[in-house]
Amino acid sequence: MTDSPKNTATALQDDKADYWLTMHAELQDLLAGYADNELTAEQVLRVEAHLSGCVECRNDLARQQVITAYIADAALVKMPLSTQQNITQKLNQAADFTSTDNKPSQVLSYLFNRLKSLVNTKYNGNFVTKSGWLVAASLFIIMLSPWYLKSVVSNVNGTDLASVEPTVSMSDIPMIDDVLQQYQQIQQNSLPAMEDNATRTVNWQNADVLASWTVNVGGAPAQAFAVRYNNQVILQVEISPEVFFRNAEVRQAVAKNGIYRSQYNRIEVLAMPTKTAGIIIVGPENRLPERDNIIES
Amino acid sequence: MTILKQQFIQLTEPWWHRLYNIALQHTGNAATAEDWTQETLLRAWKDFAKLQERVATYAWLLKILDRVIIDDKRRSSRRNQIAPVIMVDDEILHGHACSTAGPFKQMLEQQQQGKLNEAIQQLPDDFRSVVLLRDVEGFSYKEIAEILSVAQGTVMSRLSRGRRLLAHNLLKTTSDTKKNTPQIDSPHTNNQKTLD
Repeated sequence: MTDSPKNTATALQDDKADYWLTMHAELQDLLAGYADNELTAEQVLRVEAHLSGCVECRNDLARQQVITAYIADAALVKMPLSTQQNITQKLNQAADFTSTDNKPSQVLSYLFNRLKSLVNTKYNGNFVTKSGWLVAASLFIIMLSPWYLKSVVSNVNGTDLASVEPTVSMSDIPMIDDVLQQYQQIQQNSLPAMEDNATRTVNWQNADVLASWTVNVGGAPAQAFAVRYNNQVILQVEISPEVFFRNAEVRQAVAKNGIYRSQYNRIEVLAMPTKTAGIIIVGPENRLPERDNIIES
Repeated sequence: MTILKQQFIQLTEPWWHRLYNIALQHTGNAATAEDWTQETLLRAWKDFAKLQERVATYAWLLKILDRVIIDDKRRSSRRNQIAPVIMVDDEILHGHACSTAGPFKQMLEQQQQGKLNEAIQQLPDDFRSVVLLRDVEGFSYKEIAEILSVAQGTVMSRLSRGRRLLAHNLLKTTSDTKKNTPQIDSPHTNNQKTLD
């Protein structure tokens, strides 16, 4: 018996239908990848070819995108203060590591930071002058002596977080206040240890990054940089555009002048948006770089 | 407090709120969320001195949170084990009046506040984890795979199925399941066009 043309045509159609059903089942698992731009070029072609002929999958894709947008827009729930305090207390109580667990490099970097802050205090806010380095060098030698090292390692008395007094608010604008507080902290204490090799999205001449760390600004994580500029230490913070534009006063100033400026107790603040972030720069008044000299990297 | 502990708190503190937010989205219960966040940070502190290399702080904390939740659920046998596989042509997804993009979006916006959160909490644990890491936190599939110690393909299929199940459950609880006219485009109808 030979296959009639009609039988062959039906068989082909059945094969096509089976193939379609197999594709349809397989590709459903790829739809999230398509919605999220996580597919390879080859996968994209396969999904798009299928989508052009499958309304169910098109609807599913559209619903996924709606769900994603809706969840992404939902406000973050902040940790209640009581929870923060409980966690801080538990961490304070958690076992510390003995001095033998401390790596030597951590002790040395601590000593160096102590040194910097000592020199800072002595020379009234200028970071390190020429003669300052001489003092620093001699202090460093003293600090390396065995008796001093031992006392530092076994008797470090840091601040108990639970007993920290709330600081006085300096600005009505939460993100500006957060940055001012951080600036005061780096003036009074040692700089935090360099966290990772984050790069700044803006730059200006004669700027050297001394340290980089993450900080909380306006309720969200932000990247902070301590930058030496003309013998001053300036704080530069980079935040998300969403946080940056939250405040009406900042928005209006930026709309009018391209930049927001304010002053608090001889400290100057400059805030400006870039393509990808909001930049806030804080330093002694009249010592910040000129707006026109600040260039997007 | 030692320098090491100060460094630990300095490094992690910017992420505490977000960590708590994710924990709360998992459980819906503030006390449980606090317990999980606390346990995560205590375990992270224990690991901190041994951390040899620089890690992405938040991803590291989320990895620990994932283990804290699994351990807690294992202890109390409260795991959502069943992961039903809903296909795109499921009856509710196919037939509901709000199943296309516009009406679906409108339905979401008109829902009582917290309905979506409830629906997320009712997802199977595996689905919920990927949905939160992707749609709340915006991690890439590669990063999610590292946080949860699964393959990227697994992240993708769990996301597809998780979001689909979410849509299914949200539509199920919404009234008005008017049936649509038969769908076009599948090979079964031999490309005969009908009006929508």
